[in-house]
Order: sequence, then C-alpha cells, then structure tokens
Amino acid sequence: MSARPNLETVARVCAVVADLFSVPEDELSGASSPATVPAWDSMGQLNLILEIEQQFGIEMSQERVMKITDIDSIAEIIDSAAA
Amino acid sequence: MTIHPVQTSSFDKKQIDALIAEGCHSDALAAMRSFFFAAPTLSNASFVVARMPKVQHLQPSRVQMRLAILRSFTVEPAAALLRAYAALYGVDLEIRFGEFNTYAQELLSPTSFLAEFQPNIVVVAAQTRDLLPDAWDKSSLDLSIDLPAACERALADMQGYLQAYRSRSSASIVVQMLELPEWPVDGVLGSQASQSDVAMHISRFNNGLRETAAALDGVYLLDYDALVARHGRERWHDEQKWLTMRMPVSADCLPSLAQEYLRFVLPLAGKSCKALVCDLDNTLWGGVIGEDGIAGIKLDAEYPGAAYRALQQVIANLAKRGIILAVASKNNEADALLAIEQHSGMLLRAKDFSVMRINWNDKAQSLREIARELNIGIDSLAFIDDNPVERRRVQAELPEVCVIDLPADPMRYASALQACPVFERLTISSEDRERGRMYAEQRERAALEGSSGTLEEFYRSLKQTLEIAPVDDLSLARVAQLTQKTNQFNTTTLRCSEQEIASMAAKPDCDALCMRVTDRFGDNGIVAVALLRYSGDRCEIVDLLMSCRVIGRKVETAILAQIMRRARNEKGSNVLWGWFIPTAKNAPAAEFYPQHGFAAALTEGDGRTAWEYDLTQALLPSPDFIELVDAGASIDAPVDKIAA
Repeated sequence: MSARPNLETVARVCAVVADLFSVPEDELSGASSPATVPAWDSMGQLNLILEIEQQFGIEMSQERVMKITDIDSIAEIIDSAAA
Repeated sequence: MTIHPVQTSSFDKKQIDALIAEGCHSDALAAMRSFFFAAPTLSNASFVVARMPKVQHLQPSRVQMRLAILRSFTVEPAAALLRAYAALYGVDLEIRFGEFNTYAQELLSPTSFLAEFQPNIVVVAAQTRDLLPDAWDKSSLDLSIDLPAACERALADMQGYLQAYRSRSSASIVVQMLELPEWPVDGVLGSQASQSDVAMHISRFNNGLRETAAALDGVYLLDYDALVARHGRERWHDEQKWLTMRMPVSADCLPSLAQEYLRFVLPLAGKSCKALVCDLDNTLWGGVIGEDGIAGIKLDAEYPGAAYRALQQVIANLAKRGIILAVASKNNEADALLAIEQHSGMLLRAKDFSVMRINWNDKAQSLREIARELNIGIDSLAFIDDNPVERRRVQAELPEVCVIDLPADPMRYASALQACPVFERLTISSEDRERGRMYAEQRERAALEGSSGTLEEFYRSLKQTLEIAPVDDLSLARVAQLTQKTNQFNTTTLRCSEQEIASMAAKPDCDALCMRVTDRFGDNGIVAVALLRYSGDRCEIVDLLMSCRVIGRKVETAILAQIMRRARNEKGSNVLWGWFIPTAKNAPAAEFYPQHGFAAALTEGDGRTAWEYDLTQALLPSPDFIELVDAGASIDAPVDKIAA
C-alpha cells in the first residue's frame, strides 16, 4: 500500500478506538486490530467507520472499507483523503 | 452527503475525568450531559456509558429496562447513542437486537430470543422498502402490481404478529409507521386527482396500523415519516451506507433516531417529568420586570416579543398534556404577579401555575419547596431558565432535576423545549388534563426553609473576579445609564446624567467608582456603581447600586469591604455612612446595610433610614471566593491585603 501513515493520524485513530471500545489508549498502536481489541467485532467496525468519517470529515468508499485490517490501515485512508 | 462537523461543548473528556477523580460527581454528571448533548457521537456515547457507574449514585431512582429492537435494517449505532441518552436521563438500558428482517418470526415464535430476554419494551423497526416494497420504488402505473391488496396483506400480517406477541408478553410494543419515498415515484403526476399514488397507500397502511394499535393494549406508534420529514428526507438517508452496511440513516441523523426512541423509553420507564418550573425574566418574557416595568418587557406577536410568546405557547400545550407548571423567579413578587396577570401578551396566567416561588431566595431551594408542595420527587422536575449561572447552580445542587439548556438565542427557545424528551406521554387520562388546575386550587405555601448549606460551594464554583476602578471616559456612559436604569439593588436610586457623574468624579472629596465582574461564564461588564463623598472623618455612600445580573452572588459584600478599606486606609475616614431610601422596587437592597453590620443611625418620617459603620473597628471581611483584580488605579489589592 502507500507510505507509512502519519503518526499523528495514528494517535488520533487510537484515541477514537480507545473511547469507542473502552480500552486504555496506551494499550493501542498502529498494529491494533479486531484480533487484539475484543469489542472490535463486525458491528464495532461499523461504529468505528461512522465515527472516523464524522470526526475526520471524510467519506470512505466500500473499496477502502474492505481494506481495513488494523489502525494503521485506517490512518492511511485518512491521510490519503487529506492529501 | 454532507458531513457536519461535530459541535463543540464547553467541556471535554479530560475535564470530565478530572471532575470524577476529584470527587465532584454532580459537576461531572452535569458536564457529561452538556458534553454529550452537544456532540452525540458514538465514541462520546461509549465514554458516557463507561463513566456512568461513577456518578449514578446521584440518581437514586435510576431504572433498569430491557429493550429489544426487531428490525429490517442496521440499528445498532443508533442504539449505542440511545443507551447514552437514556443513561443520562436515569435509565440503564440493556438492548438486544433481532436478526435482519426476522421480526415476523421473532414476534410469532414462542421460542425466539424474546422469550428468554423478557424485554420491557419491544421496538418493531421495519422499513417501507422491506414491509411494503411495492410502495417504495415501483410505479403505481405498473398494472402488474396490486398495491391496495399488498397493503391489506401487509397490514393483516403485522396485526397477526402483534396479536401473537401480545398474547404471550406484557412488554410495551413500539411500532414504527411507514415512511414515504424520498422522491415521488411517478413524479408530480402522482399528486394529481386522477391518480392513486403510493403515498395514499402508505398513509392508508399507517391509518390501519393506528386501528390495530387501538385494539391492543400497550402498543404504541412511532411516526417515522414525521421524524424523517422533520430533518429532511435527503439529509436523513444515506444510500451508500444502506447499500454497503444496510444502514439507511446518515450518521448526522442517528442522534435524532436515538432521541425518538428515547421519547418512548422515558415515559415507559416512568422517567418523564411531571412538572416544569419556569424562570420569568428573559425566559417567559424579554427583559427584566423589576427594571423595565410592565410596559417595557417584550412579549407580543412581533419581534422580539414573539420569541417569548412562542415559548409560552409550547408551555401552554405541555400543560394541556398534564404537565404541572410552576414559577421560580428572583423578583419582587408584586411586580412579577402584576405582569403575569395584567400584561396583554401573556398566554399563561397565575391560574396556570400550580406553585409560584417569586422571591430572592436561592433557586435550588425554591425548586425543593415546589417539589414538596406538589408532593412529587425532585427527579420529576424540569427547569428552564435563560441564565446559565442559575441553571448550573440548580444542576449542581439538585442533580436529579432535568435542567433544560436553553440556547442563547430566544428565537430558538420554543423549539429547544419541544425537542426535550422528558415531557412525553403515551396515554392521557382525564386526571392529566385537570392536574394543573387541581394543584392550583389547593395551593398553599409551605413555610420557607433555611438557606442551603452548600451555597458557598456554588459561589466558589462561579470563580468570580471583581475589578473596581474610578469612572473614566470609557465607562462614563455605562455608569450614568446604570444609575438611570437600576431599580432593584439601589440604595438611594439617585439618577445621574453623564455630566453629573463626570463632575463628581472630578471633585477631590468625591469618588465615582465602577465595578466590573467576571465569572466562569464570561465577562458581565460594568455591573455596579458606588458614589462616595468624604467630609471630615466621615465617608458617605451617596449611592450604591448593582445590576440584577449579579444579585445574590455576594458581589455587594466584596464591594462594601473594598469601600471600607479605601475610606479608612486612603482617605482617613473613621465612619462609613449610608442612606437607604425605599422605593416601590428596591426591596432587594433594604437589608443591605444591617446585614453587613451597620448600625441604625437615623430614621426619617418618609421612611428613609441612615446607617453607619465604625471603621476604627474590624472591617467587614471580603468573601475569599471573589478574586480582586488590580485595576491599576488608586484602589489596589496590596493596600487591601495589608489592611485585611
């Protein structure tokens, strides 16, 4: 995929994930994914997409959504939308 | 689709966590309400729900409810918001969802998850496109479709599902009515008299649903089309989310859907408010009755009075629904009652209010008395007041009261009250209709209680600062205006022109001082004036006046303490002397001198009284919760601190 995501973006996504799934922010990183965050199930993913879209003012296409695997991949989508 | 930026609140998550950590739970609860209502996002909802256990002891009458949502679309995000809203209104919701489009089986089968879950409330959320697809996107000109028959069948089916579930469960059932398509399928042709449009069939289905609900106990209808229309069909729908996630509602509108569900949850949980307590000045009318008089307040059919009339109309409608009305206002009772009874613009009169507390007491205390007199719980009260300081005070003191955050613009008061979900009723009895009158008839004032022990905490939380400065060119106009307009807290009601103030300020034996007060909500501007004259060892307070904006916050005590220090330390006075000249309106200042340790010196035949304070003795302490700001002029804090 594209270049490494902006660290600031990763941190902001981590903050959203922490709030949404009620996990401590310092336990999250760019590699955090549905496999490591218990509440991040398919419905959690939907909520996360809605929340990311609203907080960052972007709209993610279904093609992009399909590529979400972890926090880094979300940050990459945000960075490319801002670029 | 437009994406609206998230609104900002005056609180953020860090502040709320800090309040919880410091044990300021009622402040934290109030902050969470303000925070979430301003920005009802999914992560904020999780944040609120996660923190409720820390503050829920403030709401001892919390209710636990189980809610099942049977649906034909993805409703989970709205439900997450609903949990947070409900939690803030004192209802802990456990929510479970049916599978997609299996609402029929779930209602019909005695072994569906409903049997085990035993919900208190079941919401049946089916969309037009699933329940009556022929009426959603197909032309009514298509002769292969028999829309009337499809309509009848869908209605009969739904009736069967509801009857089957009703026979097994006593849960309340909320059924979503059908919505109209965003675009008329046949264009403008559909509206013409010759046609039988899908809209007619949808509306027939909805009317049939009303009859079905009327025949069953505990079945209520949610007018989904009205909800969508209120927000605009184009704004409401999100086709991309529908096609990819089976969620037809745009993220912007999810809070509105959640709030619509809340309008059913609160009355079904018994958490609706029974009474609405109203402030008067700048809430039920524009202006301050004690200052502007009955001819000066704004209340009529034109701008700006129309905004207040619109609010009164909404309140009058609530009363018809059985909501008890009450007044809590800081005013001279006679002035306020005159306006309520005599002003031609009033839609509400004294008979409409079951209890009135019009006095200078703390409003939290007034609300307690109102609840006791009505014999209802504090958690049954809602409160509207234009003044954020009063709202905050009441919310901090009485966390269970529903304090309605009125917007800053009076033109939006009426819709803000209508949007508030705490006055919903699902049924109405004849007693509801008569309730307000019954209370009014048995109105009898209970004795006043002593003042609240936590007032000082409130004063402290205001973080007030006081700056005292000699009148200068910039403040002259405001100071003269204050002497001309201030009626209530005014010791001698001496009216002065700008020239008179200027000449007094220029005299060596006089002081013309003005006071600026700020608090955590902002700058109140110049709100008080003191005119002083020095002769020999005596300092006379020629006039001391204060705007009603800051009455009841101990500002007058701080001002008086500073005047004493200035008179003694800088002017060499031994006696501070002041007149109180009673008028029809200045009762709030009547006890000012005696309350602050002045001794009665003279009483004149016309009711004027003179008061004196011996400055060679201990001076009045300045309240430590009002910070004195150095104005850079002749009154300065260091001198004061040495003297104190």
